[in-house]
Amino acid sequence: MKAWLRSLNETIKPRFMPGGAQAKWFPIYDALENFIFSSTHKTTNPIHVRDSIDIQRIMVIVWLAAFPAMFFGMYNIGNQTLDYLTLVGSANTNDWHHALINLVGYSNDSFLTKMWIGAVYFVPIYAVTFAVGILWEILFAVVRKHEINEGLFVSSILFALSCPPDLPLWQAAMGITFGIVIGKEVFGGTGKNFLNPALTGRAFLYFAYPSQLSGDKVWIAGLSDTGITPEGFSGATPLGYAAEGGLQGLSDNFSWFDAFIGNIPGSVGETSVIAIGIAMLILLGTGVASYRIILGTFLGMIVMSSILNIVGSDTNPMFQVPWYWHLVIGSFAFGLVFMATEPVSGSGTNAGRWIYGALIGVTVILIRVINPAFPEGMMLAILFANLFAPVIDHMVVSNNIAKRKRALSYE
Amino acid sequence: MIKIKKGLNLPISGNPSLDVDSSTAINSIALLGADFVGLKPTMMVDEGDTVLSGQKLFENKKNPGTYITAPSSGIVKSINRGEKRRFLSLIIEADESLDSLKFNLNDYSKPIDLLVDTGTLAYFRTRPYNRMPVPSELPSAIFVNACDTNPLSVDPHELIKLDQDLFNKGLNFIKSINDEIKIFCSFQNKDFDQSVEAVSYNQFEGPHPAGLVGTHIHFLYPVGQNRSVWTISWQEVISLGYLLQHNSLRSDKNVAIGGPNARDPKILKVKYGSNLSELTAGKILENSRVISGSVLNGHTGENVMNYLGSFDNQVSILPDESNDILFNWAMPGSKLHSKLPAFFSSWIKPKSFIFNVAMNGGNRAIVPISSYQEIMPLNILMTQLLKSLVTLDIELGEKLGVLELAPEDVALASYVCPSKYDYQSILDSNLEKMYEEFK
Repeated sequence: MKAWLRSLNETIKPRFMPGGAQAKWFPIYDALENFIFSSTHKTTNPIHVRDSIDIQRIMVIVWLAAFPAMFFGMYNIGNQTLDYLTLVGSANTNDWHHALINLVGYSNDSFLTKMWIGAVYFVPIYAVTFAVGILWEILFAVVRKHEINEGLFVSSILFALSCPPDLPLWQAAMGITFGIVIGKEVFGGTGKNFLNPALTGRAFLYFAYPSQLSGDKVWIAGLSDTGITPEGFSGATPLGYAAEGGLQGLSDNFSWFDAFIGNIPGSVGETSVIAIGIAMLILLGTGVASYRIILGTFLGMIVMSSILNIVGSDTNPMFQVPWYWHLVIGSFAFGLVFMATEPVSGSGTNAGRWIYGALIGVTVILIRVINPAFPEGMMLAILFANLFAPVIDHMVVSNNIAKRKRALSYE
Repeated sequence: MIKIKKGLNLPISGNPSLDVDSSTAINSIALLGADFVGLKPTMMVDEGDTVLSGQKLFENKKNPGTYITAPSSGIVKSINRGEKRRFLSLIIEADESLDSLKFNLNDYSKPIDLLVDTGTLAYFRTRPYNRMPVPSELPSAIFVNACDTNPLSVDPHELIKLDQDLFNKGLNFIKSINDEIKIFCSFQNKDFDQSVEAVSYNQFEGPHPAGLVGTHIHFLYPVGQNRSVWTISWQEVISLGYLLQHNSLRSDKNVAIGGPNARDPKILKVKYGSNLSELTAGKILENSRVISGSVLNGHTGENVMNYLGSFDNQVSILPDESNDILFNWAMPGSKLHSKLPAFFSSWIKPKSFIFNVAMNGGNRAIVPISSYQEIMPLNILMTQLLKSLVTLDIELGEKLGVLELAPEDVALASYVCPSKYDYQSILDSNLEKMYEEFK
């Protein structure tokens, strides 16, 4: 098998090399070759051995780490939708999702049915995201003659997981387009971006199409299609309840434990703290994510929310929400583990990573609690910190330069 | 004692034993241009000339009044130049029957004159810039490095012990260059002989790069634009002692041979600049890459460069092959080494790995993972420094500490780099630009 693949590769390779008939498409060939075979390049002077790690493996680790959240997310879409449909009593709409779901049927309350419903909603979003994303990657790689970067694996899955299940597919295409092109490629591609590409795309959608990305109707698959909302059912996320009723509103509608395991409405991948926690262990265990950013964000969030708990407010019930609720609602955990830890757009110094993390933690609470316009603040907090990361690094670098200067001022 | 915590020891199989083997016959030796940064030679001999050990072969045009001399007597076989007539190597057919030039310390008014006349000034290098010193610009300190933490190296203490008198003689001579110069000598083993007076002996402990002179300088006497030191390794200190003892150049040196493809890793007593094919004959497996120097910072022995580098104290032998694994990104990698615990090997922790010459990935832009900082024990922001190198921003680079570094100091950064940059070569061009701008 291996020998056969190798010989096949040797036959087609010349076509894509300079002078070959398809030389223009070399980046596509190169990406496929790297996907199947390990790199056959040998080291040259002056360094003769190389670490086995490469960008491909780093990206694949993050991609795989997102799988628990993805599978739980699909299950949860089905779970939430079935709960809601039981109340509606009917699911007959003209939406194409329902035609697919009807193949299995709505009535069956099994695990597999829920997964199927989730897949019907999520897989097309992910497929469109990936396909559109890879098209842009190929286009830029071919035109600018650089390699196709594996960072797309990460950007596409994180973008798809941060979307609500009902997202129209054309909007998914728009979002990832903006994320890849404006968030990354115009600056030269992965490694040169100053914003997190997945978040950039997500933020674009949020501001461009608010009706599909905010409010109470979008977090449960199918809810926005039918337009029939049963009495006593709102579809609001815990954050929505918290904004209305504070801690009381939260605990009336959800148990903390449900929010922790992820049995709540929300974006596909963000609901389960357990699934995201598994990802965190993978990313920290393999050394891919920085524990400094994660701890910094966590501490910043705890400190800021505790301060607001103590300060209190008569008019704004969000002030009462304690840190352990902030942890499990909205996209805090998802953003913390997957988005804040992105090394390129984050701070690049160890000291800076603490500050960068703390800035995210503080800002997310400020936006959630004090800003009336946005119920969720994680996405904006991270993008805000992305913009600040160069400043933070600049301060750390200046400090280091001053220290070095003192050490060198001999006499 | 200075303890280094950050760094990385590569667990390569084939560590050399301490047996010294002097049976290797070497008939061809060479001087390599690449060993002397910024060298522009004016040849003083021609192909076919007979040269004696200690005879001047060429003058450094960039550094007039400094010479490189023949380490052994013989006939100049070829002078090889590359692109733009860059000097590559001068090859000598060694002839044992010829005499050596004799030098007597008493013939010189100052010790530095002996160094210049015998060509042994080239044993030293400056920091910053890693160049051959100018005899008129004496440094404020000289660092003698009796450490070696490179992969497949042996603790020099074990070899210095065999020539302790010569080593101390050399050290005394270095001290005599000028009274004002501080002398630092770094070592690893606590039993190291510290008997030479007025020398500051310092023990260093920890993973590579604890044994690099750049590390020692940083912790003991940091350099920059306004302060320059000379460095010399233990091998050349013994050679200086030999020169004083025998009035002629020491043509042999002790070199460690090791690595996964070395049949019998040990110490070889061979000539300075030995031909690597002769040096390794019968000692290595087939399909090997022969490297003069360490696997982290050395040159492949091939063509006119198939010779032992002037400053290299080891020869490393690696299997000349890359890994052939299908869908490598999905494989656990229990036999692949990595600084990042992203492979199964980090959990089962094998004692040693069979390293080969695989690149293990494609070139990408820098992604600032934590590894860069974790291998850098100096007070240097490594990720930022590497970025300043890549963008050739010498002003920022100077502030971040580039002048403290020589290529060997950033070799581990090249090793751990997931984007497969070669920071040594990049540092070289930065230092060259800095030398032009600052000097």
